[in-house]
Amino acid sequence: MRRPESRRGAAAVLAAAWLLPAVAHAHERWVKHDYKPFDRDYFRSMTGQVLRLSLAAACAIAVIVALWYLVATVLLERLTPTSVEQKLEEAQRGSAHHPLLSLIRFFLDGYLPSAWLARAERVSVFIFARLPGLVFLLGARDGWVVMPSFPVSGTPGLVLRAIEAAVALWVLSGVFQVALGVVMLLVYTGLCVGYGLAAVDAIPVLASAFFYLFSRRGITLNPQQIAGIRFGLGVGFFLLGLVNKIYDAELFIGVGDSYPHLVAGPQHLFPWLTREAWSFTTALGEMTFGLLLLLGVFSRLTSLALALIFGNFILVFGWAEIVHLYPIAGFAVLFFHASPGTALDGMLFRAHVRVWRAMGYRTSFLLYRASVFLVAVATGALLMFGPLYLTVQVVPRLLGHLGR
Amino acid sequence: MAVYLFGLALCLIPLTLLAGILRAAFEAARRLTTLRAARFSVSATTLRPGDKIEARARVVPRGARKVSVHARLTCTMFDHRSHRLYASSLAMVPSPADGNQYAVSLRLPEYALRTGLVGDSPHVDGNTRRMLVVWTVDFQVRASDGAVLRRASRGFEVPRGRRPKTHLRRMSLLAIDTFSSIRNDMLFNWLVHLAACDGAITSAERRFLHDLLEEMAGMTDGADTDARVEQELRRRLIIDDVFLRRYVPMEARLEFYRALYTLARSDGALDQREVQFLSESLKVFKLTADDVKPIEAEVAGAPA
Repeated sequence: MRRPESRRGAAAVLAAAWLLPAVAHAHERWVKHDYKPFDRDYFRSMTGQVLRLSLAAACAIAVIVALWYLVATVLLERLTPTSVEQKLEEAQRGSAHHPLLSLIRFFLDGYLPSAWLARAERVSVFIFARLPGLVFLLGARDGWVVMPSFPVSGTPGLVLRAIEAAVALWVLSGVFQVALGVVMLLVYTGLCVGYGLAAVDAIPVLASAFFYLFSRRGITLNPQQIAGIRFGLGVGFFLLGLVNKIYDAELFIGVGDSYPHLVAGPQHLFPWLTREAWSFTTALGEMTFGLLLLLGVFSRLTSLALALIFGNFILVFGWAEIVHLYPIAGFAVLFFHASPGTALDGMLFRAHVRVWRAMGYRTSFLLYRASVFLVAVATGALLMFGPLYLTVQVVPRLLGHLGR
Repeated sequence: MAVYLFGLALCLIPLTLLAGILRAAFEAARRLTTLRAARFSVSATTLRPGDKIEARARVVPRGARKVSVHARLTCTMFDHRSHRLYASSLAMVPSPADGNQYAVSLRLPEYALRTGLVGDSPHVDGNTRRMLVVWTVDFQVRASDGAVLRRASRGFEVPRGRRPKTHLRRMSLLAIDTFSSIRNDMLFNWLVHLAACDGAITSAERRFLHDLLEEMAGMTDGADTDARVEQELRRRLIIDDVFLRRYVPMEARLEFYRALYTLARSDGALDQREVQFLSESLKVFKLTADDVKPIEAEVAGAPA
């Protein structure tokens, strides 16, 4: 009889720990972020500069998607040697193409038959698979779960740190990865329940969860794992901008007020940049690249850009941001892996078929271009402007209404 | 950092708009200054493989400008981008009564794929490819220097063509099969153009073409053969070179080159224009000079 009781007790301790009142310290939350008074209404109305910047971000997404389909994929196909013989020739003679052409192919997400790239991909996958273990060990030592956004203390904290250390050793061992994926999903669910909105900081954990969940013995990386990493990191980065820099703008403005050079640098280039605008444009930058990563458009360039952003965090804030090596490892996986296609390919095909039917089963390249335009605009409007409008215009009023 | 990257992303908007507007404005200005009117039509909206379709155009240039009008029968496969599978291009002939009216008859090949949507069911697996196959007549109005002044496209349906395969592996087989079907057509078309590229077709070249037609199509009547050569001279058959390189084995491409080179050598030394033609065909087939050196040595050393 004692064993079930002790198990129930442990479960209660765990549940209590997960359900601790939301401390709400995430990402921007764990570096100094004492903020001075600022214009909160700037982030609560889709008008003026906020509207212009939001529309510009949606247009940027539309233009990048259109450029991808109308320019990049065509160029890539032209530059890619497609026959088996050509690949053999390259293997025999080394690079048959000019290095600049190979570089262009690489950054247009093309496949390059290079032993060096294949090795780099294997190494990055190995690091991405094991790095969470080191991060968890660091958390167990320093008193937080998953990342410094989620501090734990007291007896429940001790229990959680012990569990975290055990999971870390499991991750490092590399065994039973599918079960590990389930555990990671449970960890994320626990963070959502315990820390509420701050759990957006830990969305990259989902990248690891899906990576482990879809892993198959003998296969370095399969399409489901890639989709999982894309989802975890893309959505994570998108929400990092939307929530931590727009919805909870005081977090990031507080970082700017604590480290004034962060705002002063961009202000030299964009003199109109107030602290509020700085927070908003930073959010738009993160959302733009997060969305592109999620969609798989210019995957390598986007991964590189995001890795640079995270690397910059480490340079600016030092050891405090060392956990960002973890998403950087994820970006490295996406950087070295040739992307087979984008999440929009199916949508574009169906849009083209619809237009083709609407035009009486006649088609031309003009119709195809019109379909690309439709998909690009829809992506910008629904995936970029839509969430911004909801966050800036709808949610604050809805919450205000509910509060009354 | 994200602010700077966002700034860079925003820069793409004016750059793309500027490039698009400049290009459209240039094309519109060129069209307005060179053409008074241009209208295009086709004689049918539904065809069977082997049927003929007439392409018609009324093009009125400004001033005494000389233009040529071309019609191209094209089969395009769309997935999330376009792949041109087949294109047969013909110069349109001006009407003797009205020099601004052009017309030409195009024949849909017997191996034409059927138009429509394929493989887009909710039960598709990873090995299934969805695609949209369309046939069009593409018109081009060109200036005397070859610059394209106006483009237009008219679609038609081929409901009884060959059914395309959707399974990825079968797609490759289909592609090879399609190429096998059009190979003779394409080979003969290219050979005629090669023979004519250094001026008139010599008697040695004509004999070679007659022999080939007899072997390929059983044509023995000299008048019929000459008519076919004239017909091929008027049209230029093109196939998507990326598609070719992806699906056609190297041996087939080398054999194709062997036929071209044999014809080029049939009237003695190679003319500069023949060398140019052969070099272009190497590029299309992604063959290198080293790949074809043994073939050239073999053909050059063979007794006439």
